[in-house]
Amino acid sequence: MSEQKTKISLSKRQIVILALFFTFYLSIAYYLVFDLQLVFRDAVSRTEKAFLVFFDNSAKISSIGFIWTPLPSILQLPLVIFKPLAKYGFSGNIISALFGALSCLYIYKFLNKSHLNFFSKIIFLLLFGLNPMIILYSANGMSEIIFVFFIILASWHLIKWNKTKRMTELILLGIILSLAFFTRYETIPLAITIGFLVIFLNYGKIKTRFNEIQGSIVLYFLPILFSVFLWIVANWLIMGDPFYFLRGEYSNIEQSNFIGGELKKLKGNLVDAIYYATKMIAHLYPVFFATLIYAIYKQFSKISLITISIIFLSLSIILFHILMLLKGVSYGWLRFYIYIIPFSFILFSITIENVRKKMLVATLFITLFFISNIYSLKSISDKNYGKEECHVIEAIKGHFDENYSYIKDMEVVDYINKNNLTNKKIIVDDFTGFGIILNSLNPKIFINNSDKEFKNSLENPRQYADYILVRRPTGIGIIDAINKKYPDMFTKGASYLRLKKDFGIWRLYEIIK
Amino acid sequence: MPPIFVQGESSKNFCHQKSNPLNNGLVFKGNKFITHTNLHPKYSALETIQNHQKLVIIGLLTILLLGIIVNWHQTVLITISVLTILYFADLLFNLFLTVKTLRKTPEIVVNKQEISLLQDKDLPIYTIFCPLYKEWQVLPDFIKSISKINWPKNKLDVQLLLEEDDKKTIAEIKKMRLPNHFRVIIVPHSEPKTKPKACNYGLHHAQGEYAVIYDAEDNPDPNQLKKAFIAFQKTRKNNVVCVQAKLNFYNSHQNILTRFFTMEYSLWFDLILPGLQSIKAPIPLGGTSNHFRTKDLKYLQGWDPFNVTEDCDLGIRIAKLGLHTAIINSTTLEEANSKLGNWFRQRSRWIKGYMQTYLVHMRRPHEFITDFKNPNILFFQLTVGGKILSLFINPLMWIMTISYFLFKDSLGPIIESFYLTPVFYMAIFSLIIGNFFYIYNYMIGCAKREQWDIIKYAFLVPFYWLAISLAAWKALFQLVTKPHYWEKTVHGLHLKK
Repeated sequence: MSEQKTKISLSKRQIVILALFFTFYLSIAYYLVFDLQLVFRDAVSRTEKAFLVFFDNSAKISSIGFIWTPLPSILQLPLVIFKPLAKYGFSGNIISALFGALSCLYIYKFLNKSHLNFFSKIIFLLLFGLNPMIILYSANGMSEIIFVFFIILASWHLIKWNKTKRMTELILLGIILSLAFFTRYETIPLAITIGFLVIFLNYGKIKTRFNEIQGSIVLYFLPILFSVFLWIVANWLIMGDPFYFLRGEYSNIEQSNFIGGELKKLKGNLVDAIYYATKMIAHLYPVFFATLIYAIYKQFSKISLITISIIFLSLSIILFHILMLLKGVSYGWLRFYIYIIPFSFILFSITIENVRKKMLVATLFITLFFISNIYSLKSISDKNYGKEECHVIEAIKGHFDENYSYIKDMEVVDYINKNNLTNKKIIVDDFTGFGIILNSLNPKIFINNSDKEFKNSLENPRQYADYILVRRPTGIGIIDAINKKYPDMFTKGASYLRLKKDFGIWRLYEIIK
Repeated sequence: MPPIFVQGESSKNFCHQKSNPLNNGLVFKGNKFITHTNLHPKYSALETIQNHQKLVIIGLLTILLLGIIVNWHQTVLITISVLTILYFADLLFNLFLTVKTLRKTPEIVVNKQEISLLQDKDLPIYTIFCPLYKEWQVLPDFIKSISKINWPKNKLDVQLLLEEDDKKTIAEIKKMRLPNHFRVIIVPHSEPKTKPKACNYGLHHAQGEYAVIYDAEDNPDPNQLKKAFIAFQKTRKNNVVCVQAKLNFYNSHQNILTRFFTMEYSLWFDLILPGLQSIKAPIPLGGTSNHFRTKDLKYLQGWDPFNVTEDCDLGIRIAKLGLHTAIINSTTLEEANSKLGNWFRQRSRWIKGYMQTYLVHMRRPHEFITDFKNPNILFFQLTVGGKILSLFINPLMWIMTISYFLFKDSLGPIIESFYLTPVFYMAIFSLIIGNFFYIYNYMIGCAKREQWDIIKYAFLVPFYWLAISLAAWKALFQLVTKPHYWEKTVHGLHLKK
């Protein structure tokens, strides 16, 4: 076994790349949040969960809850201690910028292995780092870019493991994927595929070194299985259901009831689901197909097991999303296909490594990557594809959608502050009211899902609270705990309630004691 | 009454460090002991616990008792908080060591090319100590192993250290045709009759410039002496006085116990010790395969004959003097204990020895602090003190954890009330991540040594921990009743199979 050092030290050039991209993405984040007043609600919700850990009525780690995978919130913990960083969920944007920059750094490391000249490497790096989808998700606080980074990192260590067979790489792979599991559940197909690849890349040795393969598999899978086990046990102990994260009242499955239109037709229809996924990829990043075909074509002249492995890896996530479409539990967002962008660069880097007419191929691919970036911009501007992302482009154009802003939340917060309600108790479900709780920077006035008395307060609001804040029962508002308990409260109120203020999407009722 | 030195065969009541320590000894409580060393009694486990230490322990127990009487809940809460913080610190320290070792192998790596450059004429005489007691059966294998050693035979000084009263072994050896570089040294009968005392005796007969100890059942890497020799040259400027080779087993697959034992050694010698070396922490030496310059060993006053883990004690003494131990990429294969009773005897002796070592070196803890940058005292607490404490506390923690989950409704709130919020998170982290990490660490140790087929047995290692904790209680009992009793480990069990 090789005794070489596992390098994690950075060269000056790498530090510059990291710093430049981080600054760039952070500037974009600042522009989105403070100039455009634009936020992604899922991202703000994750920040609010982190915020509650320190500032809720009963400060505790479990405030992170089980609606979201916990790592993006955990990563924000050191930031949200400083309250102003938490406002509008900006700490999430900072984390995105960091992981966006880290992704660029590792893409550069991949390009470094391709033996291209410095100028070409920088062009490719810019094509990755300045891809509109990558820019957006490196600045918006969502979990996708964290997962993108884990994908790149896992691919990096898989390749290193294949070359060196050092068990440190295998351990790192296991740890990376266990962290990835706490970021996004797409890790599961990825982890299983890598597990098979660990066997596949040892195929020739199966008979002679069965024990080594068996040991490698245990070493690799254990951290991942442990993470899954841990998540299940935590769900069981805290929520009473080991699979609460899958089937709880706020889970994806529960939310999938709102899936409609074109997506609903894909349920159980394999051909259409494949077509849908292909269409999304073709519109988001068509060069992925080119890198895929080129990598496969190169296998005819010289088989590279690692290239085949990366192909399988990229396909595993696509297949996972096709499966979700088939089961009818996917919203089919454009962001679910963001992973093909890093995979395109990884495939390109490892394929071009041993190509003779390197510059010719590189020039061709620079053109293709550039065209694909234009496609990405078009897709995220088009509401048929970039259903969520298009609001950013619209906001830049001056067409503002309140659903992608904190303005409505701030209206409620300002009302609470101006009317001296900060010493009162207000019941609100933080699944929908997270923006209000977070932006008030004073979550103690709210009785929310993280509080022990939340369920009791719903049963008997008069005993526990002075006000109740209800979300309009449309869209995800239907699964708001208050609306589930009192479906007519928003529209009709109740005998013991007096409408204090109607904010449109929110209504604040005073509880008459 | 404190122990007093006696020199040579006389009984003069003085200590003279520069005198020849051969046949030196002590008188303690009317008993005469021959130790063959000038090691001062204050560094010896002859007296298990000194009066001021007794006072500290009684003081702590009194405070605990008073606390329980005055406010039992608060006392339990504080005790649990202290223990949890210790556990947490131990976990972080072990995590740190593992990362250190995995990032860059800190051991001294000697390659084949460096070995091939050595000229026989430049090599000094190397002494090999092999203390034997009633284990003549394994001697033929040992002779075979030593004959394979890549060192000019005319520059080898192999000492078979036999006890005068071990007539059977002496008789059996007389029947054997020993190679010319073997010498039989009979250690005169006296108390204490321990391996370190025999080694001290051998040290005074050593002809080599370098010396190493092997047990009779050892099978060292043939290049080990050369690797150690080169390692000494490489570390000339680093105050390295001891080079420790790694230990592992040749009968790992004999049964489940030997597999556990193998995992433990792979973790200890391939992950933990190199990690300790990388931060220049005190290294508790392994029982064999520790190499010294003979003059350094004499300067260190050899081994403490009253300490039943004299190797661990010597490693700590080395560190306290500001000197270092280095690990090399060479392995000695030993026989893993394959019988539970035999294992239990051996393990309880080791734990007793660790307790002796802890008590000896905590008599004057300030001696660890040679300068304020040196955190050796902290490392000593973590590697020796914490290790012992955890063996006693582990079962209590397990009982509490299991009770919490089994009787969550009735006992849950009471147990929860013992934990302050930050302490609770530390406890949860130690319980969940800690237990996973310790099991995974065994696997990493095995993988590093490419013992792939043993990895899966790490899932059962909590049962092994339980056995070690039981051995710890026996060790504590023996520490009080028979502190210097050397429970002999039977070797050659794999041959009888």
